[in-house]
Amino acid sequence: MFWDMVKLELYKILISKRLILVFVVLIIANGLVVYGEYDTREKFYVWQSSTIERLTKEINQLERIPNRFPPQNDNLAELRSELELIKEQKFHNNFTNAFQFATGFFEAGPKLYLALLIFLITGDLVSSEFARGTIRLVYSSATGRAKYFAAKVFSGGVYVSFLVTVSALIVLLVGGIGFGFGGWNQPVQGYPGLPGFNNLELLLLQAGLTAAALQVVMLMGIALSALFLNSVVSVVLSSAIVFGTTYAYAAKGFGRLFFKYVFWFHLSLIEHFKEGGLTFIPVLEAGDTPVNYPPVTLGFSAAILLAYAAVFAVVSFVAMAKRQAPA
Amino acid sequence: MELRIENVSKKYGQFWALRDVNLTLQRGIVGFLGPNGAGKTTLLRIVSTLLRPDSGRVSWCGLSIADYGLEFRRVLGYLPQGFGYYPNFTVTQFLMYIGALKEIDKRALKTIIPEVLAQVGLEDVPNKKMKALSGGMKQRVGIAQALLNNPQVLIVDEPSAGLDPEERMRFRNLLADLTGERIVLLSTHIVSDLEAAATEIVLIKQGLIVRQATPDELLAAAVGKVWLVNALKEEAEQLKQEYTLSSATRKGDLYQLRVICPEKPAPGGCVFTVFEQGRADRRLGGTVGRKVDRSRGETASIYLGVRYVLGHGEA
Repeated sequence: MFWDMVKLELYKILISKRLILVFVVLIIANGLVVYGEYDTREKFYVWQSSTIERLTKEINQLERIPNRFPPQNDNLAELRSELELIKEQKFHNNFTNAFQFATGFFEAGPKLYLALLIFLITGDLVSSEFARGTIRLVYSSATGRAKYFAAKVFSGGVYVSFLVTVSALIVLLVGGIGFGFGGWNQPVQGYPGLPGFNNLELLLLQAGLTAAALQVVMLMGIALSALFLNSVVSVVLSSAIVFGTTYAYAAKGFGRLFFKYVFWFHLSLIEHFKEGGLTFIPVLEAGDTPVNYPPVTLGFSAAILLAYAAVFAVVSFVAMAKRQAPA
Repeated sequence: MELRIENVSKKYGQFWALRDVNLTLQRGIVGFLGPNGAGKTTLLRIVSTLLRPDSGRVSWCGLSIADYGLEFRRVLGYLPQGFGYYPNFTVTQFLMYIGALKEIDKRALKTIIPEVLAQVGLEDVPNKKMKALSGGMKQRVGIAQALLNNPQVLIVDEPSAGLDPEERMRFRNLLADLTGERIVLLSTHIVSDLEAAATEIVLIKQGLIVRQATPDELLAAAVGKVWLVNALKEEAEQLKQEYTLSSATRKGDLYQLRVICPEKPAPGGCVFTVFEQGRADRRLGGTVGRKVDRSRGETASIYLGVRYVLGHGEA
């Protein structure tokens, strides 16, 4: 019966209009990144060709002068060398293939729009039952509140995994169209913790770690949904917390040291495999007292995330179970 | 099979929603009648385990429903007022979901759902989306979900609210068919919803049980206490203030009122002459009164009894 309930809860998510919005956002956002990359490349080539044209013109003009003065010769030499340099310049792609594009997406995704896309769905998960009045049928049924809550959380967890999988496929597709599908078997660069890994393996690892870390975000969405019983409020508040803490970290001075330990930073678990790992070395301003932070390991990040998950789960359950069904 | 409500009270802030309610309910349809805010829904929410009483207890077959825990809900079917549904679910999907909540085996549900849909006359729309159903059809789906576990206690709260007369009549007939081996608790403020089917009627007013009686007993309560009065506007206003009225219609300058009181109505203490209905004599102040005679079929509605009991607080 539990699995039937989970299946139907998932079905509720799958047929919701918000899910279409989620996919539209994913496709548009990734499309924009690819477009941005193309646009930058295009602008570079335009700039390169116009500069080459201008330099060539100036060189030709100087070359036509029969008896050039030494400064003119110097200028000509300078222009020639500049022309060579411009000709040699190549556009440095941020992404050379779909897999690189996808790993880039998963580095930024968890703390940015993947979190938002989770809130879009979880913000409604509990509050909609109260708003529609269906909670009265739930609370008068033989299913206990704990079991019902577990079904909600489980279906939320499956949604997160589904979202990450679909995101990976969309990103690969969009990235592949933009940059080509090759390179999946190229060795990973810049991840000393992953010796011998290729791009595809890195992507799978990233997706797995992201799906695991984002379960916390899902629980937070449910907690806020249960606390405020208003999907708009919970989506806005969740997003404010995500972006607020992320930007608060970026802002100099303001609570910087504290925000290093806020869990958003730990959502990027893949960082632990990068060169240097997930380092929390504070940028000290003049007059700051140096602080020795404990080393941050993958286990430490996982413990932080688990602690948050436990808190959010308890808050969600208490908020939902203690609340009376509306009349 | 007995559902007993003992000394149940519930207070919202300073407002008593229910005060010391005592009822013993047995097989059949028990109609809860009373004006809006009388406490009907609160009482049904307590029986359906959605709400805990401040004091008192509800017991099922001798044991408190609080002691049964979730087990009591296995014998419970509940259709709340304005019940919620998932608009994009089909009727079958919705019933599957409620069935899962009621912990009914999926395979069993595949047999039960067509049965309950046939029972409520919706066998032709199992794949129709909930949002595409009419108000009456949605209410019937509501009954279907309540019947999934073949409940021994079926609670139906204001089922006919918002339905057109035809749908209301269909729904009434459906409820009459559901009695069987169960206790049906039906709350309404529309007397005609109960007339055909209720085996017992409980009148509630301001959180108190005013009377628990059979429809016949309520009918009898009104006999000889209903007066048909033709009055001019001023007298009609006075009658409205001083007496309980069951109806008022206007015919030209004259108002025809059904006044419910044990004695012949005398608005403002004025003496008036009893005339046959329709012979208003304006020279005598325009007020005439005639006792409504049950033998002429004039008290065929228990509504008059209900109005009498609620208006005069007869317990």
